[in-house]
Amino acid sequence: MTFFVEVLVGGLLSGIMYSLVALGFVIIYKTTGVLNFAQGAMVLFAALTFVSLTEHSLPFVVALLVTLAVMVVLGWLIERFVMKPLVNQSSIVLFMATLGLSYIIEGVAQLAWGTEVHGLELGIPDTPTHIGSISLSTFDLVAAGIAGTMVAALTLFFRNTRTGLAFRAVADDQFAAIAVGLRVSRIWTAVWTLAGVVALVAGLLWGARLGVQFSLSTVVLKALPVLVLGGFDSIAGAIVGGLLIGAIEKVAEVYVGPLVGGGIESWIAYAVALAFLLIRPAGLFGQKTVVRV
Amino acid sequence: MMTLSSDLLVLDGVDLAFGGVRALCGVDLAVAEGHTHAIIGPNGAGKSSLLNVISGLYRPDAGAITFAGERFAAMPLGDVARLGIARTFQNLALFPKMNVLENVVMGRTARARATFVENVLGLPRSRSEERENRERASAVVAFLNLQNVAHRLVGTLPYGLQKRVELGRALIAEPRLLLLDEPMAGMTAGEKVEMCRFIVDAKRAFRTTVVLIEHDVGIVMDLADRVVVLDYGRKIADGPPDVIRNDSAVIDAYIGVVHDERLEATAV
Repeated sequence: MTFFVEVLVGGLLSGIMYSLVALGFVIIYKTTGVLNFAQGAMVLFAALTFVSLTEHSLPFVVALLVTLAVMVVLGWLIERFVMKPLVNQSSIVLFMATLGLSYIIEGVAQLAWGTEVHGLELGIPDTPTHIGSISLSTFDLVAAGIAGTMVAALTLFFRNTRTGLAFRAVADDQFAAIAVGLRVSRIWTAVWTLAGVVALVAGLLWGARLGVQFSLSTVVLKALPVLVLGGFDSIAGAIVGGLLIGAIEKVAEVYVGPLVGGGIESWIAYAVALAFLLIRPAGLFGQKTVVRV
Repeated sequence: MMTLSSDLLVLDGVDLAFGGVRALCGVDLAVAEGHTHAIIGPNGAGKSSLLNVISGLYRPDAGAITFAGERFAAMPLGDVARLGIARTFQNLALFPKMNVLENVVMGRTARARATFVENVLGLPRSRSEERENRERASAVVAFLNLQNVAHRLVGTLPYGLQKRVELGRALIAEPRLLLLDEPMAGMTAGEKVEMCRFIVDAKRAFRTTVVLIEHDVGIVMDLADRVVVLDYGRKIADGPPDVIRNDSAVIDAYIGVVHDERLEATAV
């Protein structure tokens, strides 16, 4: 029983890390209707910028602030030169644009910081923590704490602040938003910046776990089943989806894996997502689209 | 066109075409501050086009628009709200997934003094402004008798109430010019009477100038200080309601060739 709980909690904790990546998608999708394939590239770019700056012997906090500033500039550039010219284009066009964008961001990252693998040390101890008879990874606990705080802050931001309200207004009806005088392009810049900040946090935590390297951008592939489960436009959904996927992966790997010769962790999330698409295409929390005929 | 200093809005020879279709053709218009102007005309006469030119959604091919003494070749879409123009739409443009109060609060956007950064950081000016906006929104919601649905999502409300929310969102901006595109379309007779009363009260309470499009001739004659008649994109009449009522060109174009009694009957 203790072993099962350990596996389950371990899965939930790594699930929060998936949620963190999925969150970046949700923020952009919710407000602009764009499925941002470049989110993974942004995660990589943020982590690589930060780690390279610390390697140039900048102190932790300074490197963090500089990276933050870089992500703000990146958000502005994306809005100004990619999203704005494509306003009112169909969603597939915008998706293709973000696909191209992801290669550009990766290319720029490579040009600027090189291709070697960097180790990232955040100063979080990677020793087991014991709670009762269960032992858990301290790193995972801290990472989950950071991700959880981030989620709570974003939820409160969208629900209770003026800027959050403006974000929701633009997401709800752009035409109406312009009519009341909202500056839509400014809000989009803020949205992309916010997604950049989320990417930075995700990049640091994932980078510390996997090392900062180009394969980091493939964490988006783990976010996709999370989004399918949780719904593309729900912050709560990203969390629950992440937890579910994390738990399913670990539990399935340990208990079902041996029956089929192992290696189940790499594909079970996608199988679940596929099954889910057949049953509930809008996700657990996603907006159901009703089409009037 | 002669412009009086008391005119808030003046259109000079506005032309607008979509491909080969001329939606507006040399339209002149002068709206005096504090007046209610009604625009009437058959379907496709260019009424909505005219309103869209005034609110910056359409860019005229020729002519000029003067608002509050400032002359424009086309109204700047992103800034019309800040110039003091608020509007409602024929088919509604609300925020369906936000509640009634939140929708109304959004109408204050153009009046905001706090900057984006102040809002993000929640600085004092932003907070006091937010408090003030919430109070104003509650007042507008009460004014329009929407208290019972204040916390309902707008998308779940019946059409007539949604129209009222949209009016509230326009009013809270305290606009100098209020544009109403068929504010009573699709309403029941009872709802129309109510809406009519809200418009009259609102005009008095907010001292705004109104330009409205309405099909119901009876309502137009009651509400408007001046009636403008469009037909095939041209202005065919412009005058006080009782003059328009008896204008033969208007009767021909708008109502078809009918007797005066029939017009009276429509007006009831």
